[in-house]
Amino acid sequence: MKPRRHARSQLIRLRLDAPIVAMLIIVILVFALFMIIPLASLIVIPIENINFDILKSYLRYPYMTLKPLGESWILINEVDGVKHVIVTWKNYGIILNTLIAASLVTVFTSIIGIIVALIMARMDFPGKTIMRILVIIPLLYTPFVNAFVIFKFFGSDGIISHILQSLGLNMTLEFQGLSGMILAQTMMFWPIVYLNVYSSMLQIDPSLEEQAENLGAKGFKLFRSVTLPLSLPGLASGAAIVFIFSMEDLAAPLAFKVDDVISMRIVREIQSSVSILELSLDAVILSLILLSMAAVWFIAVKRYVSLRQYAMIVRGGRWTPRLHKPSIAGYIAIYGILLPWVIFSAIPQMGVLVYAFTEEWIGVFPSGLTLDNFKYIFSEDVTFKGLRNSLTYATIAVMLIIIIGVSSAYVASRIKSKVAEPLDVLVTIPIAIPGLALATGMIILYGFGPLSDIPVFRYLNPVDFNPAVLLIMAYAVRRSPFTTRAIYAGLQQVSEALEEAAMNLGASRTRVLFSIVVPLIGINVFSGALISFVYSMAEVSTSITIGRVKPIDEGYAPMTAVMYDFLLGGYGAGNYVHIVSAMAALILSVQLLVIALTNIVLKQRYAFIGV
Amino acid sequence: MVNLRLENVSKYFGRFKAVDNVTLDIYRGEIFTLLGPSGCGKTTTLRIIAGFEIPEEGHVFFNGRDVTFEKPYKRGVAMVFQNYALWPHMTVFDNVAYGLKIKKLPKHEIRKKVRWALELVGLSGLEKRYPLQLSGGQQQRVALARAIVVEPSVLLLDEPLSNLDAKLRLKMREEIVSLQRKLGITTVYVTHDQEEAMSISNRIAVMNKGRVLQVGSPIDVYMKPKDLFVATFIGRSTIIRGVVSSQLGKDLYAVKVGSYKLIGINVSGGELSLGEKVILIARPEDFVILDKDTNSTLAENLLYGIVELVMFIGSFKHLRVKLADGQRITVYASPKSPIGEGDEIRVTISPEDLKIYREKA
Repeated sequence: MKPRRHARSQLIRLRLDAPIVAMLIIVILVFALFMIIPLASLIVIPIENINFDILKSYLRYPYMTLKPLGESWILINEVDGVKHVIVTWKNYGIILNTLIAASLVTVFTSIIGIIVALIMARMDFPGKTIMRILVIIPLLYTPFVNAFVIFKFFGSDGIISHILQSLGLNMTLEFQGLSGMILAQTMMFWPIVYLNVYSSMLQIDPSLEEQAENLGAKGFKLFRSVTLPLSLPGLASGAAIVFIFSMEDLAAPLAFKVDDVISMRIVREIQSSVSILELSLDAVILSLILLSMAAVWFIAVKRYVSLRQYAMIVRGGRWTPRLHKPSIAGYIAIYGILLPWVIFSAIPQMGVLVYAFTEEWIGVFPSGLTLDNFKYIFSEDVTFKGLRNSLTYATIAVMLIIIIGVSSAYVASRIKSKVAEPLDVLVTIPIAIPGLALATGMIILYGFGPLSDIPVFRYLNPVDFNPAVLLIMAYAVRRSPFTTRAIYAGLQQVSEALEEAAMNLGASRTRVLFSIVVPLIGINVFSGALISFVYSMAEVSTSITIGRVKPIDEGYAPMTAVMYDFLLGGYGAGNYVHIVSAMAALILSVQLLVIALTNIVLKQRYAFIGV
Repeated sequence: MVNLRLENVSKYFGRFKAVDNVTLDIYRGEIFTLLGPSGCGKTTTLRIIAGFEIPEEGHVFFNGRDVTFEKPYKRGVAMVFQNYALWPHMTVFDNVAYGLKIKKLPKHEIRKKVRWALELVGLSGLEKRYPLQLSGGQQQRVALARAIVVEPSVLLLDEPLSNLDAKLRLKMREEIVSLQRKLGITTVYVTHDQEEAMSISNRIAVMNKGRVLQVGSPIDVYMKPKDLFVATFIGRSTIIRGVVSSQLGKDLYAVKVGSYKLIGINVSGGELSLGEKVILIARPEDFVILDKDTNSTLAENLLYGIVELVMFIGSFKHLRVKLADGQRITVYASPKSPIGEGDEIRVTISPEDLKIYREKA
C-alpha cells in the first residue's frame, strides 16, 4: 500500500501554533499599517494628478541639470593680500546634488572607516582604549547642532580661518553649501562604517589570515586578498546606512544653508503647503524618488552581501584577535593622522556642549558661562512640553518596540517556514527607509487619504486628533530594528534544543517563552530597548514633519521639532543655537547614561547595529 | 512502558527526503538503536518520535494509538539532547524539577523525586550548581536525570555520548545500560558509533540515506549483514571484486578473482547468473595467514599477495595486501607476527566467512 501524503494545510497548522501565529499577526499588522501602506500611498496622489509634462519637468532644472551652475571653488585676493579660499560646489540640481553628495560621503566614510577599523582591529599601541572611546563620540546623536558646530569651524569667518591666520598664513578657508555639507556628513557618519567593518574584522577566524601569511602574503597583499574581502559584509552594511543617512540628513544642509537637496526640499514643501489637505505634489514625488533611491541602493547592497555570506565568519567562536605592534611609520600614522582625525571628528559634540553652557560664541572663543539655556528649556512652555513629549512618546514607542522585537525575532528565528526570510527583511528594512518618505506617506494615508474617513483610524489623524499617536507608531517602526536585531542576536545564542527540551517535558509554547526564552534573552531585550529609546528621543524626520502639522505652541511637538523650529527661526542666529544645543546636550546625557548602563551593568558593548 | 510503531514514515526537507518510508516496531522495555552515518535520517526519525518533526507521510503509534500529530508536550516521551540542552539560567535542581513543576506536583513530591533521580545518576549534593559549573559528564547526568524524573513512557537519547572524551564515554555507556535495565523504560538510542550501538542495544536498525536497511540483534547485524552497506558500515571489512564462474550449492558459488577462484556464500538473495559481477566481503580477522611451508594445494580459497603496508594497532597488526590482479585487501595478523612490508604472503578464508553481494543492488 502506498502511503498517502498528509494534507499540507494540516502540516502548516501544526508548525505554527497559536502563540507564534499571534506574534506573526502583530508584526505584520504593525508593519503593514505603519510602513507598507503609508509608503504605498505615496503613489496615490501622483497617479491622480500626474501627466507626462510634469514627469518630464523632473529631468530639468531645478531638479537636475548637466550644465551646473556656480563654481567648485572661489579664490578671492583682497587688497591687503589676504587670500580667501572658498570651497563650494557646482549646483547640478536637487536630485543630482543629493546623489552626488550621498555617493561622495559614502566613499569618504568608507575609506576612513576601513583604515581606522584595520588599525583598531589589528594594531596594539598605547592609548588604544582612549581612542576606542573617542571614536564613539561622533556617534552620539545631537540632532542638528553638531552640524552647526562644524559650520562654526569651517563656515564663513570660521575658527579654522582664524587658526590659519594666527599661524601666520595670510589666508582663510571656508566651506560653503554642498561641499560643507559633504564635509560635515563625512565627519558625522564615518564611525558607522568603522563600527561595522571593525566588528566584521573581529569575527574573522585568525587562522584564515595566518594561513595566508603562511603562504607568503603580508602587508597590503594580505589586507587586499583576505582581510578586506572577509570584512565586506560589514563594509556593505555600513556603506548602505551612510548613503541613506546622507540622503535624508537635515542637519548639515540646514547648517550650511543648502536648499537644493531632496531632504530639505521635502520638509520645506510640507511646511509651505497651505494645509496638509493640499500637500504639494512636489513633496510626494520627491519622497518617492528618495524612497526609490534608498531601495535600489539597499537591494543592491543586500544582494551583494548575501552573495558573500561567508559561513565561517558568522559561526562565531571566541578567539583572541591578532594584534601587531605597529612599525615606526605605523606609529607616525596612528599618532600623526589617526589620533588628530578622531579628536577632530569629536569636535561637533564638544562644540554642542560649549554652545549649551555659554551665552555667546562669536569669533574663536565663546563667552559668558551660563546655565540659563537649560533654565530656559524647563521654564518655557514650548521647550518643556517638547522635552516631556519626547520622553513620553519614546517610552510608549519602546514598549511597542519590545513587543514587535520579541515577536518578530522569535518568529523569524524559530519557524521552519518560508515566511521566516521575508519577515527578517521586513523587520530590518526600516533602517533603510528614509523617514521623510515614511512621514509624507503617513500624512497622506491618515491625514486625508483612503483611511482617514474610517472611524477607527480617526485617532491616527495628526490634524483632527493628535499627532502623538502617529508619531509613536512612526518611532516604533523606525527604531524597532535596533531592538529586533539585539534580540535576534540573543536568540542565536539560545539553542533551539533548550526550548525543545522544555516542550518535551510538557511545557507549552507560551510556557517555554516565559520560563526559558525570555529569561535567557532578557539582557538583549533590555539593551536593545535602551538603544531604541535613545534613537526615538532623537528622531528627526517624522518628528519635524508629522510633529509640526499642528502649530508648535499647541504643545504636541516632540523636542526635535522644537529644536528645528528654533534653528529655522533665525538660521541659527541669536541665542537660539545655544538653547537648541542645551536640548541636544540633554539628549546627549541620556545617551551617555544608556551607554554607561549597557557597558557597565550589562557588560555589553554599545554598537550601532548594521543593516 | 510503551511499544512504539512507525509505519511508512517519510519526512522531506524541501525536496530532500530525510526519512524514506521507514517502518519500525520498537518493543516494550528494550533499548533500540538507530545506527547510521551522519545525515542518514536517524536523528530526524528520533525527532519524529518526539514530535518535533511531523512526517509528510506515515504514522507513529504509541501502544497502537496514533500520535503522529500530537504536540511534543503531550506525548510523555523524554529526550536527552546531544548537547544536553540544560537551561543555563536554572540550577541543577530547577533543571531536573522543570518537568515535575509543569505536571503541578506538590513541592515535597518534587523534592523527593528530584533527589531520587539525582541519586540514581550519582549527582546527589550538586542541586544548587548551575550547568556551567559542571563537567561534561556531570551535565550529561543532569540531562539524564531530567529525562527520567518525569517517568516517561519512552526515553529518547540523541547521540548522548558524542560530546564526552573516550574514557568517559565507555563509563557512561555502561551506566546508561544499567540504568535502563533498572528502570525498564523503552529506549530509543541514536548513534553513529557502531561499537556503541553493538554494546548497548537489544536491537539495532541500520540506516542509510533515510532508509532502514536491516533490523536485528547486534550479533545478527554483524554476522549476517543483509546488505553491502551494512556489511561495510558495521565492523571492519575488506572488499574483493570478481565474476561468478560456477554454482556449487544452493547459495554456494565460485567467483573468479584474477587468476584465483574463491568460494563464498551468496547473501544477496536470488540466483546469481554466471559471468555476473559480484563483490566479496570478508572481515579482516577471518583471514588465516599460512606458513611458508604449508602445502598450499590443501587449502581452499587461497590468495597470494604482497604486503604493502604494516600498521601496528596493539591487539593486532593491520596489513594491506596487494593481490596479483592489483586489488588490495586488509588482513589482520597476530601482533607478534614477523611479517614486514614487501613480504609475499598466502592467506586463506573459510567460504562461510566470504559473503557474496551483487555489484548492482
